[in-house]
Amino acid sequence: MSDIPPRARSGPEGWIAAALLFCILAVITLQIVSRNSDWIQAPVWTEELSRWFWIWMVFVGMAECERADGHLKMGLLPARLPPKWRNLLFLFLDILVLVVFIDLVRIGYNGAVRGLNAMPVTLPVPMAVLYAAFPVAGVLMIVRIGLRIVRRIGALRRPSAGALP
Amino acid sequence: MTITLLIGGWLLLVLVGMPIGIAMIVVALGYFHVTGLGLSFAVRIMIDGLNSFPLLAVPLFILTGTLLNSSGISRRIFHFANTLVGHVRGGLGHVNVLASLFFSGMSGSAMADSGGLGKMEIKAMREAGYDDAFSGAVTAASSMIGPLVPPSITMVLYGVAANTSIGAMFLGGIVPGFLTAAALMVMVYITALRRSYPVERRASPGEVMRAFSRSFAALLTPGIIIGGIFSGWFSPTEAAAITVLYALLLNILIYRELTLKQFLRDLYETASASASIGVIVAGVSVFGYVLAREQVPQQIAQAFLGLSDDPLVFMVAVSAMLFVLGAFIESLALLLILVPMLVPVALSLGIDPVHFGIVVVMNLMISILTPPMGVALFVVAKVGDIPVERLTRAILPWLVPPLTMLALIILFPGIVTFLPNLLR
Repeated sequence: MSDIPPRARSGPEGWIAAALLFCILAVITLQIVSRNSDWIQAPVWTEELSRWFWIWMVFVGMAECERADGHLKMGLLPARLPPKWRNLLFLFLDILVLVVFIDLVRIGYNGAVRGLNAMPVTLPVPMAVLYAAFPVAGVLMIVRIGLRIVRRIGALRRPSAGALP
Repeated sequence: MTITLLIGGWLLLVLVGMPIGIAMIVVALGYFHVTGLGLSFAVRIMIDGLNSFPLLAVPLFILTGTLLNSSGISRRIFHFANTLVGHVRGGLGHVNVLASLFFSGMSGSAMADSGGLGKMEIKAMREAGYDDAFSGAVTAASSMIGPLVPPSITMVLYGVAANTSIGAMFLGGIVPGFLTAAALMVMVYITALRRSYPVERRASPGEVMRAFSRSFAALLTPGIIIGGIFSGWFSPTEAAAITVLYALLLNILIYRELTLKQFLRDLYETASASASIGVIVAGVSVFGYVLAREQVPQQIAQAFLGLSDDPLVFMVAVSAMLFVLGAFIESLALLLILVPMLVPVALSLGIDPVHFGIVVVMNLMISILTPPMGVALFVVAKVGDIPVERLTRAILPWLVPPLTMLALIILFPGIVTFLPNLLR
């Protein structure tokens, strides 16, 4: 029996991504309705805004996938390993991804700062708002991966623990 | 050497369990650090890869499928299909295929079919005395129809990757989708005759009409999508939003099974599922940038053109490659990596991009059935509680109908291009 506590069914990142999805639907609906009706003037920013929502949704949702093990993956080999070796392998992968994301957050932050002076075509906010999506979500990813590394090390110390996903 | 390291490194990371999209990002970042090229653009490339309005159709079509599953429409569609073909030898096998065909007009994903409809189909077939291997194999095989008939998430991604009209792709998939369903029903019939499978009671015309009227509103969905796009009322992405609103209206006004709590849960699940696809798109953008720097597309083009300049040989070679790679690599990742490299070659050989697109989609759908990594097999095994090993053996004969259809589509492009050309 595994003594690893089950993960919560939903996380805040997932709900933020869900809210962003609803915003995409609302903005595209506004675009269709305004274009086909005489009583609303069609705004020019709907397409750009919906794309920004989508990009934010993907990156925030990426952290949710990290939390809930929802990423698309194939893991053919780990399934054949005993739990301890599987945890060790996944610990190595987690540390590798953690290092990469720390680097990417740094790169993304610099990119967002550079975007402070650039303006998009239709929206009245700087491009930095769009480019901030990755560093913000990257920090969420780092937190989730960090927490999992702690859990994984704990599992490695307990012989009774099963393999974490 | 660099190319081998890049692709080999990515495959190794994926095989040891790293998420597909994240593995691409990791390898690309390693390349940027080693070569000192493009590092400061790494994040920007990912954002630019996602910054596409047509891509927004992906989460919206997933949401439509999820909402319709929540509304109990799968049950109504299954019942309607049962009244139509349940009385034919191998009854529930035919019902399984026909229900998938109907459902494919509302959901763009094979996984929504095998995961949502599949659970109910396998349960019904098991109770009627069909063996699990047959039930699971029919369910998995019929789920491939989903992405062939509009709406289709795979076609949206192909349209974006190949810069091809998504509306034309939707039209091009209709005839192959129906023919694949017919081929699977022939297979069901032959198997049922050999194994003496049961038939259901023939439904009366009144029962058929009642079942039809209960599912009619949902069956209109593909008509709304195609009609809306080709009448110029809305783009494919807007069509996806319209279908979400339509699914919501159906749930609120007609089926009345969707609660606010369930709607929020559907939004949540759709956002997570869409993000997992989006991460692959972002990963492919940055990984594709690296491959382009190493001139991989040019090398692949030269390799194919070196084989022959006959379009038929090219199509067969691409299909063989996708069949082999698809058995090991997730289909969407394969599509997003290979399509931008293969489409220019196809165009240079005079192949219609829609025809090529449907051939690619068909190949990828066959790959979700192909052991050892066929995703549909794992989903069906899970929802049907059938051992994967058993399903893996049972699925092999079921690859014959789609492979036959693939051969026909390659040999006779008109099967695909007839409808799009009609409306051009």
